[in-house]
Amino acid sequence: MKAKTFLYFTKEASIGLSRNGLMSLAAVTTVAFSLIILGCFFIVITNCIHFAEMAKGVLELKVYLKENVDPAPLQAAISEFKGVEEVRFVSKEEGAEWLEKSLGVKNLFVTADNPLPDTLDIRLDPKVNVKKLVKQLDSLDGIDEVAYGKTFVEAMLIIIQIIGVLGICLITIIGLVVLYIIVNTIRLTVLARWKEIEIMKLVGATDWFIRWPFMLEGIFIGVCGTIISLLLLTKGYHLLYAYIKEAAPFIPVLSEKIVNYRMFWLITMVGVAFGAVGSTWSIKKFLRV
Amino acid sequence: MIQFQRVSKTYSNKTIALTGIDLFIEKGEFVFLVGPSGAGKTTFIKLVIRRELPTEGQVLIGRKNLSLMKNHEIPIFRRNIGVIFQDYKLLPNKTVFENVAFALEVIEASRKDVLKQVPAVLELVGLKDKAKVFPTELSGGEQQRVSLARAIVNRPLLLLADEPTGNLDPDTSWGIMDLLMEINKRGTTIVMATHNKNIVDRMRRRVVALENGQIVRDEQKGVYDI
Repeated sequence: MKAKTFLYFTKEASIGLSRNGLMSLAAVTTVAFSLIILGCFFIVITNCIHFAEMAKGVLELKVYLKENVDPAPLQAAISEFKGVEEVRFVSKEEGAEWLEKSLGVKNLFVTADNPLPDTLDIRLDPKVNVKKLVKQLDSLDGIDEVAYGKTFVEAMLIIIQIIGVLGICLITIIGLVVLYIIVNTIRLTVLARWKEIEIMKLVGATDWFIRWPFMLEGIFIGVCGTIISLLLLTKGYHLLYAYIKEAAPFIPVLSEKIVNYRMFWLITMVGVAFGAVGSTWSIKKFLRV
Repeated sequence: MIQFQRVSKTYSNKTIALTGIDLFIEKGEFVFLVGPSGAGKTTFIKLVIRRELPTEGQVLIGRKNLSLMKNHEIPIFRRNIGVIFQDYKLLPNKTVFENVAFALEVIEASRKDVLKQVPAVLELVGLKDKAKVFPTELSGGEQQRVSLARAIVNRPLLLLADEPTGNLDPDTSWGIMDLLMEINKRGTTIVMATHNKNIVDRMRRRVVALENGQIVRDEQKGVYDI
């Protein structure tokens, strides 16, 4: 493309935008609102996923040892397993103490022998594959039983998966809705100018020559919508984050930095790409002259 | 220049626009296309600029068979054809100069060419003083002349006019006709669809009469009716 031609395109695009000022403003607003909706869902969904991951992180495994087994080599071996963050040895005496304390009684095992086994408490990495780890632990010698809230952990894992899949589906659906809205909004701006396109075709303009100014306009509308929505979304999340930290500090919320970073890419790519695609699609019909 | 071989055109809504048209128009000819509304004149023009494709038969322009033309060849092909419409089809938000220059800009002509050719052609159609005026401020005849200027600014080999005098009073119409004859003298082939009996009868050029999508008469130095 010649520099002069590109200059012509930019000029045409800016003329198009300014001459259809109100229409362009409407398009920018619509795009911004659509992106804000997308952003809101994104914030909620990423936080749900984060929350689920955190819940997984507080899971613990208990490994009960057989009688008279030396815990040290087992402790060392288990520490090496993937997904294990910390292994702590809890002797049967400590176990009894903990039990007494939590039951609020004293000298629980004075009359009988302490029936509790020695235990290894394993704290897990949030990204652990629990089933695989349990299998590995079972294969070790000296272990009596691996205890974990089996149903709880498995239910948790399923819920986490569902949240993930549902989240992706929702984001995709909303993304498509946003694309539809953007395409239609831009189509309105194009509709006002189909006559121009027809004349261009008749005097021998190539499709790309006609498309470029419209595409630039679409990108510009997308960029404006992106900027507005990002400003509002980051400000909104800032307030929400501060509020939750204040009112319900036990809820794990993703930090602003992480959310803003991810949201920036999502919204920018969606806004700009949809703007370009939207305008290209919108004029497709009119190019068949 | 233009060759129709057994051309039929049926639109997707089953309307039959043309049937079995055989026609040959030589380079440099001036041809009137006459007939009542709905006879197929506009379809004929649309087939020539490849805005429509024939359902049957072939349309050849020069040596090009339009049915075999690839999509990317169409814009280049159209650059050799000028078209004038009854409703002018001017861009209301561009000045007279810009409207005419538009035809050159889309084919990426140099600024130098634009500045040289647009004033020249505006002078030819007698609108040199109105270059900076917007179409809405012009009379019908003037608008038609702008449309004519745009059609001829890149020196097409073929000029198609779809009822160019349809909305004009007799005097203005003759002004347009004088220009078309002038352009024809310079070697441009002209096909003009018209209802204007007066003009056809006085010009005595080749007349092709269409009725119900068929050619009912084709005579040199013809008149509007028999």
